[in-house]
Parts: sequence; C-alpha cells; structure tokens
Amino acid sequence: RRPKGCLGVSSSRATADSRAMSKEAIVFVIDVSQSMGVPTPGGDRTRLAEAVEGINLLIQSKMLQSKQHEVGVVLCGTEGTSNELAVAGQYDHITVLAQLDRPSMALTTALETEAVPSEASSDIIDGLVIGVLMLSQRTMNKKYLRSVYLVTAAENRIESVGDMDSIIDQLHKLEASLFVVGINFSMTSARQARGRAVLAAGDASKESVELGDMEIADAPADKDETVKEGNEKMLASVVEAAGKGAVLSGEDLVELFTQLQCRSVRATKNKTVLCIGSQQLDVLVFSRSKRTTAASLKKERKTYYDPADPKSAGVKMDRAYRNPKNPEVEVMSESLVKGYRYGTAYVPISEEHSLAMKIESERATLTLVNFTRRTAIQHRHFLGETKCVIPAEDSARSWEGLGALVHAMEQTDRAALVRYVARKNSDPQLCALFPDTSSSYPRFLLQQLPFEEDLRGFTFPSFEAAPAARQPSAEQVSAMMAVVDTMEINGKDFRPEALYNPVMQRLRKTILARVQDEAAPLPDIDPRVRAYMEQSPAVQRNAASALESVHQLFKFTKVEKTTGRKRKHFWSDVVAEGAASEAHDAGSGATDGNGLGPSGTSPAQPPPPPPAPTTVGSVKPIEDFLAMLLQVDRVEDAVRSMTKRIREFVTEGANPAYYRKALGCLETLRKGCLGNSESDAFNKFLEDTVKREYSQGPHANFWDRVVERKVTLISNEEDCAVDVSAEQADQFIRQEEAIEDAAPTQKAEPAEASDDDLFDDIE
Amino acid sequence: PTPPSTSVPEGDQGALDMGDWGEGAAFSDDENAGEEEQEQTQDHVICLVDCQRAMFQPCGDEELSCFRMTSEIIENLLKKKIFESDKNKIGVVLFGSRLKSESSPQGHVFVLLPLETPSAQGIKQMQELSRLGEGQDPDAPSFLADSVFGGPMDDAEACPLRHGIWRCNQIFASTGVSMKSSRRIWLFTNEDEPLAPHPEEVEAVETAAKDAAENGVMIELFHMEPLEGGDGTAATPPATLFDVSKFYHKLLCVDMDEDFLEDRVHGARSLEELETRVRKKSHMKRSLAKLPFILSEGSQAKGEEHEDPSQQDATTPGAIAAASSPPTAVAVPPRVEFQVQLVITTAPTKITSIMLDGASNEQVKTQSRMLCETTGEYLDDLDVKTYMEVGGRNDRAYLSKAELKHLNAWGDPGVTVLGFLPLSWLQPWYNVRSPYFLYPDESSMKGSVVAAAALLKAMVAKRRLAVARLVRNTASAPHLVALVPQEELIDEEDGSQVDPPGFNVIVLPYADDLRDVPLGSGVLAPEAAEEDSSRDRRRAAARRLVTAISLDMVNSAEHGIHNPVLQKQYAMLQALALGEEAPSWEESVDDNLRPPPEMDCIKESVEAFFSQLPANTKTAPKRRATGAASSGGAPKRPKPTGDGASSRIELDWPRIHSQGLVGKQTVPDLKAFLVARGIGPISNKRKADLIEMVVLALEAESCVV
Repeated sequence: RRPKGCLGVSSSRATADSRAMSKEAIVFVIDVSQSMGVPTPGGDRTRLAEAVEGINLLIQSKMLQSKQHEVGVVLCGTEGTSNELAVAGQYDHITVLAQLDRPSMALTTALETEAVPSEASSDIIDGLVIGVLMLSQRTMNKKYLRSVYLVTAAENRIESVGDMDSIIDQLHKLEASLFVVGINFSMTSARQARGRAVLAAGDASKESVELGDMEIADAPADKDETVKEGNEKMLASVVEAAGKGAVLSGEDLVELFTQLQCRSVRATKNKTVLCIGSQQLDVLVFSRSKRTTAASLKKERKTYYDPADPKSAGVKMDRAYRNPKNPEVEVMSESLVKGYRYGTAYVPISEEHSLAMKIESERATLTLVNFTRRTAIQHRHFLGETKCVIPAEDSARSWEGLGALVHAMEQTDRAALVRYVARKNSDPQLCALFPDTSSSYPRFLLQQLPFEEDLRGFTFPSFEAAPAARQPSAEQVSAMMAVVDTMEINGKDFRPEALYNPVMQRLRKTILARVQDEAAPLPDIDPRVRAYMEQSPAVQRNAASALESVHQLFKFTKVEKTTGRKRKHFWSDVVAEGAASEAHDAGSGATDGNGLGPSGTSPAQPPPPPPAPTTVGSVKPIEDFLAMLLQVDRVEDAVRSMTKRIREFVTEGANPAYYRKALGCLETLRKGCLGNSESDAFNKFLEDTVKREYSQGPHANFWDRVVERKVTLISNEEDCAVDVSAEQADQFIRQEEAIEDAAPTQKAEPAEASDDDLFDDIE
Repeated sequence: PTPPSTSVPEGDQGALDMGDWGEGAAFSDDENAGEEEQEQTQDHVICLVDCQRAMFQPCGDEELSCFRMTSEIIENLLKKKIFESDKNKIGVVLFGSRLKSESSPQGHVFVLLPLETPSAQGIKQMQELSRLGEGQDPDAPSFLADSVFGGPMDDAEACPLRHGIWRCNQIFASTGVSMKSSRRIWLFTNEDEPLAPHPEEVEAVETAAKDAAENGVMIELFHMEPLEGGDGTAATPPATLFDVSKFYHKLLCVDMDEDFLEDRVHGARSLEELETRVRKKSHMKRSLAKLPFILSEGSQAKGEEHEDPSQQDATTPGAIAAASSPPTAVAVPPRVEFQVQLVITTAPTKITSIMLDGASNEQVKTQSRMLCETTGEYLDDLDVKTYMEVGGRNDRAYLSKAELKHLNAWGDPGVTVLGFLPLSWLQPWYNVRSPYFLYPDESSMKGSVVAAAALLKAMVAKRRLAVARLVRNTASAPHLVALVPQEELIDEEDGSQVDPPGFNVIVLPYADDLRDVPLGSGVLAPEAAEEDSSRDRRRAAARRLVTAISLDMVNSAEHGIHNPVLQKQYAMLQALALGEEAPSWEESVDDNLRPPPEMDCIKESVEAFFSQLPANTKTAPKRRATGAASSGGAPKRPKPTGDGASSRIELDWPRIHSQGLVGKQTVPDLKAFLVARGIGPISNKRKADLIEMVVLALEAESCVV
C-alpha cells in the first residue's frame, strides 16, 4: 500500500476527492413478470433473456472498469418474496437478488438462472421503492455516482402511483440518475428511428442524454389508451421529474454496453502554485492526454488457489543482489550503495550527496520564466503527456486571474515558458503554457519542451540538393498531390476522442471471456477496431486511379543486402563527377588540386590508360608493384618500394587489416622477386626485417601469419642462384612453429574479416 | 464511516503493480526496452586536433583561441559521454606539436588521451589544456615549450597531418575495438591549406585518408575560420572563409546512399557554433527501425499478388486506360510502398543510477525469484500461473505472458497511411510522448528518396498531414500517428541545416488516454458576471503583463536553456570522482531555467495585474444548477415510501446472514441490531467485534428456530 502523503501534502486531498467520486453504485430493478416472458420479434429468446444479457454486459464492464463499483439487483414479479419491506402482503413478489455490493461473475450467473419469467405479477413501482431504498441505505452521505435502472415492459397496471413523489424526492436527495429501460416502448422505438447519436459516446452519455431527446410518442388522440401506453407516459414523467437519466430501449442497453469503450479514469487534479514574479495564483494541474497501460499480470501458485481465500496461493518476488565477480555470495541489501557510472569507474553516492544532486523545491510550482510568440511553440517539440492548468476550486482570485491571462495571451498570440515542478522536490521541467482554446472555461495547456541537452540535432541529406536522379519530377509531385487529395478522410470521424486502443479493447474482451472460461480462446481483433486501424476500402477505391499513376511513375527497387565492402566515394570524386563539363577523368580532382607533385600521378586513381606507377602506393600496392615489374628499369625500384610499403603497413598500420595487406604484398613480392632474379633481395628482407624485427615484439601477430601462410625463404630448389637449401627454408619458419606451440594460443582474429578481402585490391 | 474498501486508488493501480512485480507485463515496458536496445552500437571517436601556431590565434568572432575552443569542446564532450555506455571510447591526438609522444613512431604527433572510455582524469587534462598559454604571445618561439606536448612545432616543417591520420588509424586498430563499431576521426583545424608549402605531402595525406576509409574509419571535419596568412594582424577579421575545396575535400569520404556532402563539414566562428556542430555529431544517428512506408496496401491485402514486374508491364496499358476512364473502373489500387527509417531526434536526457556493492564499489546484478507466500519455497515458471483481477470480488482471468504479448502485437511492421487531413486537425493536446522522425531509406529501397520528396512537396503544398498506423516491430503495439511534413530549413548565415527534410511522427492518444475536466464537475462556474469595466481592467493589465517581456525564438527548441538537474549532477559527480571538494555548481549561474534578470523590469506590470484581482479569500461560488443536493435538513435515514411502511423497517438479518453480508452492514445498523436484542456492551467496540457479536446472535437465533 502506498504510504499516505507520499505524493506531497499539497496534492493528496485533491487526489482522494476525485478518485472517490468515480465509485459507482448501480441498482437494477428488473421486471420478471409474464410480460417479460414474451419472445422478442424474430428471436427465440424472451424479452427478459435479452435484457439480462444487456445488464450482464453492463455489470461486466463495470467490473473491468474498477474494483470499487457496486451493483444491486431487485427482481419484480417473482413467485416468492424476499425483501425487507415485505410485511402483511405489502411488497409481495419482490425479491432482492443481490444487495448493493461489489459484483462478481457469480452475480451474472445468478441473474441468468434466477431472472426467469414467472406467473406472478407485482407493481414495478414497489420494486423501484425497494431499489431506491437499497441505494440510499448503502450510499447516503457517501461519495458515489448513483443510478437506478428500471427494466420493464410496463404492461401490468401500476397502482402505487402515490409513491412516485417520494421516489423522486429520494432520487433528488441521492443525486441519482434513473434510467427506464423500456421493453417494446412506443416512445423509444420512435426515437430509435432518429438514430442514437447521443449514446455513441459510451459511459459519458448517461449524463448527456437529455430529456429533450425523449419524445413521448404522440399518442393519437385516442381514447382507449392501453395500460402500457399509460404506464409509459407515467414512467417518462418520473424520469423527467428525477432530473437525471433517460428512457432507453432494450436494444439501447445492449448497444450501449457492447460499445467499444475504455476504463473511465477521472483526471487527478494536483494543487500547484503559478508564480509570476513575486505573486502567486493557486491552480490545479491535471493530465489531459496520458498513455493508459494494461495492469500487469499477477501470479498465483498452481493448484494452491482456494477461491474462498483470496490471499491463498500468493507468490511474491524475492530479490537478491550479487556481485558478478563473486556470484556465490549474496550482497545484503544493507550493504548496497546507490551509485553512478562515471566512465569506467563507479562513483558511490551517499544519501546526503544524492539529496545534494537534486534541486529542492517546497511544493508543486509553475514559475513564469518568459513569454514568447505562440507560433514559436511547435508540436514536434512536445516531449510528453499533455497537461491542463485550471483555476483552483473555490478561488475567485484564481478564476479571474487565469481568465484574464488566458484572454490576454490569446489576444496577443503569446505562449509562456515556465519552470514546472510537478511535486515537492521533483526535477524541474521546461514547459510551455498556452491558452487552451478548446475549453469552455479559462485554462492553459501545459507541454514539456526539450532542454538543450535533449536535442540530438541530426542532419539528413537535403532533398533539394540531391542529385537530379533523386529529385522528383513535376509529374511525380502532381501524382502525389492527387493521392493526397483523393485519400483525404473525414477528420470529424477520425478523432482520437472516438478511437479506442485496439490492444486494450482486445484485452478487455479476453479478460471477460477468461474470467468465465479459463480455456477460452483469444478473441480476434474487433472488426470495428480494424475499421479505423486499417486503410478503408472506400479510401482505397477513391484513390485507386491516383495510386495507380503513382505506381506507374515511381520506380522502386529493393536493395539486396551486400556482404562485400562498399566502394568508398570521396568528396573530391563527387565534386569532380559533378563538374561534368570538364571532360576530365575522375582522378583529375586530385592532380589538378595540388599541381605537379614530384611523385607523379596518384596510384589511387588509375586513369583509363594507366600510366605506370613510379612507386608502390598504399591503396593498391600489389597492382602497382606488378605494373612496375613490367618495366625492366623499375624492377629494383619496385622491390625497394614494396618492401618499404610492407614495413609501413606492419609498423604504422599495426592492425589485423594491415597485417593481411602486408602479407598479401609479401607473397606477391616473393613471386615477383623469384620471377625477376631478385630472390636474394627477398631473402634478405624476409630474414633481416620480417623475421628479425617482427617475430618478437608488438608485431609478432604479423610474423605468425607469415608462418601460417608458409611464406619462407626462396630456396635453391626454386632459384639456383641462391644458396639456401630447401631444408633451411623449411627450418626458417619451422623453428617458430615449435616455439609457438609452447606459447599460449593466440587470440583469434575477428571473424568478420575473410581472407578474400586480401585480394580485393587485385581484382 | 469510511466506505468498506481496500482503497487502492484507481489510477495508481498500474504503478503499484509495477512496483510489486518489476518484470510485470505492462506493455509500455517492452517498447522502451526496444528503444534502448537499438542504441547499443558502439561509437568511438578520436579528436585529431591541429596544434600548429595558427590554432592559438583567436577564432572568428571569439576572443578565445581556436585551440582553447577546441579543448573546451572536447572537455564538454567527455563530460557528457562519461555517463553514456562505457563501451564508447574517446581519444585525443594532437598534430603539429613540438614533441611526439613515446608511442608515436613519427614526430610532431602527440597522443594526449589514448582511446578509452572517458575518465575523470581525461576531463581534468582537457581542462588544463584549455588553460594553457593564457596571456602568452603565441608568436614567441618558446610558446608553451614547457607544456606536455611542447607547444606548436616549428612553422617551417611540413604539417604532419599524414602521420596524425596514420596514428589515429593505428590507435583504432590496436585498441581492440570492433570492426563493426562506428569509428570516427574528428579533425579540428583552422587552416584550409595545411600543405601549401609542402605539396609533395598532399598525396601521402590523401593515401592515409583513403586507407582510413578502407578500414571503415570516417573522417569528419570541424573547421574554424582561418586567419589571413602571414602578416599576423590577428585583430582584423579573416577576409577569406575556410575553403574546404582547397584541400580537405580530398580526405572526406561520403557514403552515396546515406549522406550528403555538407554533412561532414562543420564550420564555426564561435564557441557556441562549434559546440552546436559537435553536439549534432555526438549522438550516433541510429535508426530505431527500418520500415516499409505503405501508401497503399493494394491488392496484396486482398490476397492477390501484384509483385511480378512482368505481369505488371503486361497489364500496364490496361491500367492506364482504366485510370483515364471513370475511377470506378479501377477497383483495387496497386500496392505502393517504399522504405523509411525511424529515428529519435528529441528525447529527455537522463543519467540513471545503479546499485553498487558497498564493499567493493562494483555494480551488482539483480536476481529475482518467485517465492511461495504460504510455504516459502522458491518457485519456477512452471509452478506459477498468471492472471488479471476483475472486479472487487477476486474473480480471476487467467492469461499467460505469451498470450498477453500476442494480444499486444498487431502484425507486420510498417507505417501504413490511413488518410490525409488538414494540418489544423492536429490538436495541441494530441500528444502522449516525444515524437519520432521519419526519413526515406534509400539503402533498403532505391526510389525511396524520390517518393518521400514528392510526398513531402505534395503535403506541404496541400497543407495536409497524414494519419498512419505505426507498428515498429512484430511484437509492438500499433499506434496511430500523425505524419507532419517538415521542409528542410537552412541557416541563412552559415548554410548549415537547421531542420532536416522529412516527417515528424506525432504519436496520437487513443480515446482511452484522454481525460477532461469539464465545467461543472470539479470546476466551478464563475460567479455572476461582474460589471464589464472591472473585467476589462483586468484584461488590459494582463495584456500589459504578457507583452512586457519576450524571448525571441524561432522555434520551441531554441531557447538556450539547459537542464539544471543534469548540470548539477554532472558537476557533483565530477567533483566526487576527482575527489574535489565542492562542485562548481552555482544555482544563480548554472540554473538558467529561472526567470531572467529582465523579470525585475516587469515587476510593476505584475503588481498592477495582481492588484486588479479579487482578494485571495475562499469564496463559496454557486454550484452549477443541476439538481443540487439540498444540504442540511435531509433526514439521515430516508423514510421508506409506500403506505405499508411508515417507520424504519428492520433489516432482514437472517437473510443477510445467510448471504454472508453481515460484514457489509453499517456500524449503526449493527449496533441497532444488538441494542434491539439487548446484547452488549457495544460502546468502544471495533466494527469487527460488532460483526462477530451479530453473527453469534444470529446463529443462536437460527438454532432456536
């Protein structure tokens, strides 16, 4: 249970008030006399059975809405009699099926079995008396929303008309609504023909169904008015006199409670102070839009549950804390410390420091920081739920002050920047306050805005500056305009106020099914929900030709995910490509830019007839090297340049990628030397540099690869000009293997680099 | 008497439950988890800072030197990054220094901070660096000679940019960072032609940059405005702007699918500008999801295949003919979809605390287990079933976690357009969370940019927004969203992008999420209208007040206000980590979420306005006239109506007892029962005792009968 006052003293009272008000007490007075046993037209069920279905739907929806709601049931016209007023033949044939209390699914079952048409008859007004008495005994002087539903066909003569005044008086005292659910009433059928727009808004409609909507069917100046018609008129006048409520039809009842609907949550109003300079105004803040989530699942131990004992089979969560470095030992909660990660370190925070890190405040406040233009406040910067600021109850000062400010800000098109502290000591937020023009009384909307730190400021490529190929043509734009036009929907129907959360709808349905049958299948998504969550066929039909032309004008090709490395583009390349007027090749950007460097053309950008490179570049060293070997006078240069490059790759690159590259070069170098009588140069390089310098120390990894690839000395079997024997060559790398075997295993190299990459450059 | 209830406040049920069951199945949890998961990609940055002599000259509009600005920026970056994932590393390398660090093979390259997770020491080092050389003449040969890096190198030597890039590359390679992570070199300089005197070096630098690119290391340039060469008149503003095309464009690699050229170039003339540029790049641009953008579900929804292109071509003439004939001829539109990416551009920044083992200051892992309340045994999932409670009478609806997940999901991920509406349809209260941003994803589908650009133009021209169903992944709940077109906005002065082109994704509330407090229920109607004159006076005073001060901003993100709590936390934690005494946080200076000094000037307007208001006394305004209860005088207990029942009738106690409802009766009723039977004493008894006495009495009675 939440400890009292943890929301802060200022807000707790307001909270309690508004919550308590949402508790409902509903009494059903159901006529079960013969007239209710008549089958409905076209149906095989009785009127009563149909009415009970509607009532059960209502009870279930109340159960889903809140645990606090209470329901009582009085049956009128039962064979037996069971009620507290039944004395000496008074209030006969009236049974109190359920006292006003929290309903359970058992009640709905009881209704189905107990509420059956009987031969007996009783005065429905007597039933109403019992019902109202039940309501008043239970709820008088407590905070409830009260209502009485009288379900009847009104075909039995009503005798105790004299009781009407006291019933009405009582209803007034209780501020209760009276709903007469008329079965086969002439007036409600007339109204049905007019449509039931007033009922569409679900629960809220109960208040809004106004009496003006009722029409007592113009009874033709007929003298032989039936009992039923008389009763109908009488009941309508009772409803009218009661002041709150309506006459509904049986169909209305069913429809009302099979409506898509949501849990009605009353807004919690928090007392807050609006500070302007040194002055203050008392205001209330409530959430206007706030994400509602499903309650979380509770746990029970299988087979241990005893329905008679709600506390049985309880499961609680036990939390243990463990230090990953010493997982055997549980860290006791008293030795836990709050802390923050700070880079690689952790900074423990004492209670005192923790408080010092907060910005303290005395109470919930809204502090004016500045005014600005309303148009500067943009929807795309709203960070969270929407709140409303309204005048404090009972404060004329607050009402008038807020009223004048709202008016002035509306007139001058201003918004205010405020510092909003929602509760005592909570973190201040930056919010915008602007007039809520949708309201019938003065109030502000409050929206959280981002701080500087909250903006990520991402940039994305411009559409306007995109290459011509990625610019839409005028034709394409007008095709899209046609789509925008033809796919227009009606904003009066498509409003969040009328669109229920599909997940919550389905969950409610599931819960109702499961509470009765543990194995009930999960229901499908309601077609009425699908209707607004999916593209409507009407919209599609309307836009068909526009969409067809979009389909024709735009070409989309799916990009298959390539595993290979993408070619890199450099800005200088793009600039050069862009300047298409110059008939220069792609490489010109580089050479033009820096004039004639002594090292000549860059090997990185081979022009179509590739001039022979003079050095081995680092981008495509193997290609360069092989190209240089083709020119007899450059062989020595090529070898020297290549060895230099390899050294650079190993020592300066010093990572697996460079080692791979160097190894590729080394192998190419070996082949090149062998084929160009430079074997001694290769052997010397391999021995003096590669082995001596790299086999130990930071680049041992590279040497391991050399050994792995068996790149050894050129032996006299391959080139008779050298005096290295095959055994020596073999030994040259063998020694290392022996050592390596003894050494701890090397770290595996990253998996994503495949050996194929090695030769990407050559291809 | 309080109502008999186990009063759990309605709205708080969810919150309470979540407190009890941390891993409860509230839907919203799943979503947030998803968002964080996506942000796990590692991001490593090496700041490669020019420290040649020119960098010690004042930059653009600032008095600070370019070097000082850069150091401050890096310090702030470290301060921010230090709270983020400890997997993201930052390093700082100077080039053009007199000394070289021991690990550098080449001269004039100095590794100031090795590539590692930011640390308090690193921040301190950057702080010291930014204070270097204050008041000294940067042109003096011995300038900063005693600093760690020995000050700027001799001007005559070739700029060692090549070695700098090589070194960064090598650091990335040798620090063991994953090849998959993002690796970037941020190059800070104010010299657009560093190699003008040594053209032979240009090619080498280029090669180094290309090698970096080949290894997946990206170079981004942050340049400050250069000084005019040679003549040393630092006071005169630079006549020429930093020209990227002179040299640096050769180093900047672009990914043709993702980026555009200017994105890598970040010019700045002031500390503020440079800070903005850096901030823009300091968050990795990660997409939360890559999704199809479905303009028309088309025939696929009806089960037909429309995908085969050859079939398409065959039907094309017919389709065009149909399009030109009355629209009824085309019954089913084709499927039209392209690819988009969803990103978060704005979200509240928070640093979250963790739990440490007090003995070792190491982070602890939480392990939760289920415990049977009756036997105290530990249970596993198989021993437990889950349910939701319905109503107040302990009815249980059994539902497994997997089923709940299934109910939550909608189906295939995507953004499906449901229709278009005027921009004015979007009400300011249609907001429940921070927005997303949507941009075409050309890398998944060619043609997406063209389509998105055309759609944007069309929507802007028609002043329309789109409403759509957003399903982020196969497990996530469907949301209705408004797609609000956003045209690109370019800063006129420096040509940088202020707003990118694309669509803002406003998540709409459902009817379930909307509440209201209408006039009459909890809100009081105003008292009888006062005479107009006093209302007019109030309004006039309010008008003077609301126009007295104004913050001029283009949009709601441009206010320059920092989060005071975050700033305070940064300062506190830094002080604690470095063992410093007091943090440097000063409320009056560092908390800029408070009224500015100008507020003093409007004191008079405030007082004038408030003096017009009625006094702050509680009045009792009239309630709205709806069948108001007549308070007072009403009898506590209603008289039952009907002629047969003139006095209070006793409750049917045996029946109440048989229904087990004794406990539900009110205390006065219970007392009345006992008094009537002469059972006592009843004073000072708790309700439970009274109930027990009544039950005993009733049981005794039923036995007698």
